Amino acid sequence: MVATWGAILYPVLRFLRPRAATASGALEVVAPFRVKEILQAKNNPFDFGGKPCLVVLTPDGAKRLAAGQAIQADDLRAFNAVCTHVDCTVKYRQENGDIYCACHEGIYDLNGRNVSGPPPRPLEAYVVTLRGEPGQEEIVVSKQSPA
Amino acid sequence: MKRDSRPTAMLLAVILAAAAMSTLGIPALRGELVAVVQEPEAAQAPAADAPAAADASTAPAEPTDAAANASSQTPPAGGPLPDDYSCLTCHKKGGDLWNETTPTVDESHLTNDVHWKKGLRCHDCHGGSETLESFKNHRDDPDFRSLRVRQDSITFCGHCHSNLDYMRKFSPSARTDQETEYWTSGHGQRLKASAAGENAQADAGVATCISCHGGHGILAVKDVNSPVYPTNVAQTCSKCHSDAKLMEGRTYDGRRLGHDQYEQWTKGVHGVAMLSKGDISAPTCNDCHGNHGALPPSVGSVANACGTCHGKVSKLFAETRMKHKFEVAGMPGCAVCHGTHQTFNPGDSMIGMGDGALCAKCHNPANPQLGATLAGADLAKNIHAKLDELKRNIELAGDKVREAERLGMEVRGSRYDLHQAFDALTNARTLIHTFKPGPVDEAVDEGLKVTASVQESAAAALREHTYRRWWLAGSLVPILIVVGLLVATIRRTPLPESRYDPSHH
Repeated sequence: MVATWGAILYPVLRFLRPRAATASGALEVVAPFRVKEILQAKNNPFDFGGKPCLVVLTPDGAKRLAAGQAIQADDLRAFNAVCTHVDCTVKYRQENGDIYCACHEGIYDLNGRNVSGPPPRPLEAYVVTLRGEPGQEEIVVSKQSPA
Repeated sequence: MKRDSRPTAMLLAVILAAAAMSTLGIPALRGELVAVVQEPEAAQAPAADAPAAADASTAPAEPTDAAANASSQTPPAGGPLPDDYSCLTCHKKGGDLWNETTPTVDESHLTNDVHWKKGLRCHDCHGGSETLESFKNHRDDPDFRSLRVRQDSITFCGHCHSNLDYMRKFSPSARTDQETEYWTSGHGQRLKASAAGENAQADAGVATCISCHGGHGILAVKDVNSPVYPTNVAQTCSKCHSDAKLMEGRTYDGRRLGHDQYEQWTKGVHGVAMLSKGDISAPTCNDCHGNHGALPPSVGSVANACGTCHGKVSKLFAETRMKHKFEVAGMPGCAVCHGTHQTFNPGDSMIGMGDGALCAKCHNPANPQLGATLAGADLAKNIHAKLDELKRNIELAGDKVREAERLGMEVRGSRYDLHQAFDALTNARTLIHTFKPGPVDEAVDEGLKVTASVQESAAAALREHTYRRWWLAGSLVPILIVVGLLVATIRRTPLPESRYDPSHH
């Protein structure tokens, strides 16, 4: 009897409570850290539609964050973190104020422009918007222009 | 990668000068100057009458006349040439002193010229008087800048392009070292030797400013139609350097120059990137050889030239014993394995001791070269095996992820994680240039950890799929039983009597 009910209810329950998605949607994603955590975030870059997405803070943004002032969306930049040379994942070097590819030492500035090493093109840029209460804002990264 | 973006030459009216001198009865020079203007290869014969002016040419041009005077004035105003403009008298078709033998320059030839667009007119480059009232015979006019011999074109252009005060009027960050650089280049050294009568290096047919930039109608470097725009540079150099006849017998540093560099470059990874993929940051001739100071990089400098873009690899290689051995043997660093103009697209088959492996060329147990050791051969084999292991595991993990995906399971996270294994593989390939096992092993092991994790998560997704199928099959049994019981119950239940009587209708 238990087995019968189990057999009937299990698929129903799994349908009602499906397994959590392991990757983000294709057009918009919320970064897995908040604005105030960006400099310590271990999961930056993070998954955005199957590709790594990197969020960086502009020098002015870093000053504002250090001074405890409010951060605007303009203080953040988000990029497809795939190097334009041979597709390695790039990382944010806050101490150098640049974006760095460790595979061949390609360097981009914080606007995503290739400035040194073999990368032939700038990084693909995404749109950043902020959502939530001041000090607790979430970072929303989008492939579309804001309305 | 930054290219020089300044035009070298201000050569607005080279032909006009030639024309002027021919008109003034200097036929012997006229032919030479026309050759200078049109085709560099046409003026190969050493100039017998070359004056020793080249030594003086190494110094920046003294701003003694028009350009210097202009430095205190505003930039030229431009506009169409007035009817009484002195040059038109001889060099405009139908001018008062024009005839069929006079070289002619029409304004329409000049309208796209970068100098013309900036407002410069004939006399700004050629000097002399712009009005007939003050016109003097070119030979008697100290302000007229002559172009009697090939090397004159360098100082002719340098007259303005080496004058910072003058150039600043047009661009606040204008370069003014092109002329100085030129005289240090392979071209410049030969031209200088030719003028000085030094036969060992003399070569009066080498490229000058106009060989690359053109004469009248010079386009800005940023213009896609300019012969020195990045995508056109190699073809421009090839006009001379792919000419077998022109290159015959020419040497540099005791080595034959050859004439297949352009063909090789177009087949190499850099040429394909630029010409087929439209990547204008890919290196072309001037990125490795320099532009105005063009020279082949010396044996010890090859890694530095490559390191301009490939900094990490160059740095790793610089710390190896192999680089030192190559230098001692006079072998050109990176180019020993990767080629020169036809730079190979690197592959894992290059490392190891198998067929086509480059390591085997020196680490050959039967015939070792440059003191190469058997331990080096073992290292090459091990590195190759480690790369193969990581590639195999990436493939296996990818297969499992694809299979789970095909069965409708959620594996986007695993697919994303697999990127890190590709990163590790690329990093390991870069670290090969340490020629040490430690760094490569470390990078490969990092990748193997990722592939193991991805394989495990993909396998879990596949197990989940199997589990779901069994539960689906199991759930069908009671469902079918219920359906069967319902059918049986319905069949046993008598139909209610119909209250519908058609006879009453």
